[in-house]
Amino acid sequence: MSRRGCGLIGLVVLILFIVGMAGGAIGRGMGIDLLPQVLGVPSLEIESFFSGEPVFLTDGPFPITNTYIASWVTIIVATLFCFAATRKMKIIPGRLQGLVEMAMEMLINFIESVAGHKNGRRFLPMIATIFIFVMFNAYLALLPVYGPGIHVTLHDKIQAEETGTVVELMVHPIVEEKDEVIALIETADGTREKVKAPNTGEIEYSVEVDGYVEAGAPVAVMVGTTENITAPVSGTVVKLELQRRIEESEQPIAKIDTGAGEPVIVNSPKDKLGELEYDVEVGQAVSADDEVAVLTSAPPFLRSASTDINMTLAMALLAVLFIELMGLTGRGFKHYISEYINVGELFRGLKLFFTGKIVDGLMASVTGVINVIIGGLEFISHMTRMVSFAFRLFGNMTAGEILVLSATFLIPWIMAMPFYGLELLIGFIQALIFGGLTLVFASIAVGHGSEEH
Amino acid sequence: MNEEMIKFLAVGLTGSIGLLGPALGLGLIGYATVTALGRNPEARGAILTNMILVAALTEAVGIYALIVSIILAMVA
Repeated sequence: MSRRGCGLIGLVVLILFIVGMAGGAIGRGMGIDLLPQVLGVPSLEIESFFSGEPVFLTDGPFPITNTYIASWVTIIVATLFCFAATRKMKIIPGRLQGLVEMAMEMLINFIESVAGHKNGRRFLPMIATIFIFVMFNAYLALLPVYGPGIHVTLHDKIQAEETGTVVELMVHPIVEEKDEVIALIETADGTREKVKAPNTGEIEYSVEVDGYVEAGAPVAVMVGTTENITAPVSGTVVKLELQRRIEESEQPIAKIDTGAGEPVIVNSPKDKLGELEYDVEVGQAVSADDEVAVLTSAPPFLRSASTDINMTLAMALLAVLFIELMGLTGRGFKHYISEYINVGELFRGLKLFFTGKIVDGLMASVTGVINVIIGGLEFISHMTRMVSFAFRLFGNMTAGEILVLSATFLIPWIMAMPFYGLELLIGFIQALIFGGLTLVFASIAVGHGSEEH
Repeated sequence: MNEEMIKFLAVGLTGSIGLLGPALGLGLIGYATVTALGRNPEARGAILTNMILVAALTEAVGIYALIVSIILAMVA
């Protein structure tokens, strides 16, 4: 029985491997062009590498990013999980309650093994929260719904294929309704005026964001005519509302005159839609492989919360705050501060120096100065823990995400499996590390005094 | 030696040289752990806990190097 099952699984894996290789990047490199290439590795720009991409309220004071939404999903899932486990609690627990009880017991054992029995209970809420939050974040991010896995590339650079001069840029912002707002102008007294388009059609902007425009000066031109859309008031242009959009696969974008024959047309990539931004102007000379435009597709709705440096920085800040607070309350304010600003020895040395015992005074002063410097270094090392916590979690999660994406891009379905396993392991270990390190530092902060006295 | 060549060299060298140190460090941690386990198999719990802790601290330095090379690849 098991041999037949093994053979079947082996066959399925082999078929998936062949199909995956044909459809992925390796197959495409070898010349097999069977399946449409829907998956590409996103070339992340630097703004979306460190934080998520805004999905709602993009221009307001607080854009809601996809990582923010994902962190709320994590909170809701974790809360519902524990809520469901504590309904109708029995002395002999059912399966869900048993699972949660086992998890809690492992956590409290771990915490007490490091921090001791008395402090263990005090640290449990914070450490367990950090652990559960980081672990749920890492594990929920493996679901297919979390981008940028199932979405097409976020930023796609469109390159010119031949050397030449740009003759025409063919994609224009389109006005779809009459009186649609095409720009916002802010006047000197702070009011914002809308600029409306009188007709439908394609327009071409004559101003840029943050540029100054006089009343009556053209804001945009209707393409193909000399009809100007003028500004009603003078002021600075705050926002241009219409973007150039690519609505079809392989839409022509620009014409390049190579000097030999017909102008060459550069097309948008296959099966990719989104907003377009040009990097060249009419009349500019480009060589082959120069960037002509950048295509930005819609960002995914959800993205792993730990891939956002803001999230990990906030957690690191809270962890360091927790450690310092535990130290302050555990050992008394004065005693704790004297660890860092350790001037006792220095003052003693100076006093000895000035009251006559020169050699003793000198030696004690020197040790005193060294103590002060060491205290300062200790303080700095405590503060750099914030940076190390934040970057450790962020780096592991983002590197894992990029790894899974690259593996899926090369050979879909098969090659991503070992990396998924790696992601599972890394998620658990990083949660353990973050919580465990906070625990260790907190127990050191509380424990020093009781060890010495 | 044009600009793009130097940029790629920088990215590659940052990554490789930066990751040498943590790799060596992790190997040393493994060596110490296995030695300690061999001498005193009963202290397994404490040894392994400390090993994971120090390994994570060392690995973080490797992640810093990775982040630097990714930033270089994007910004330059």
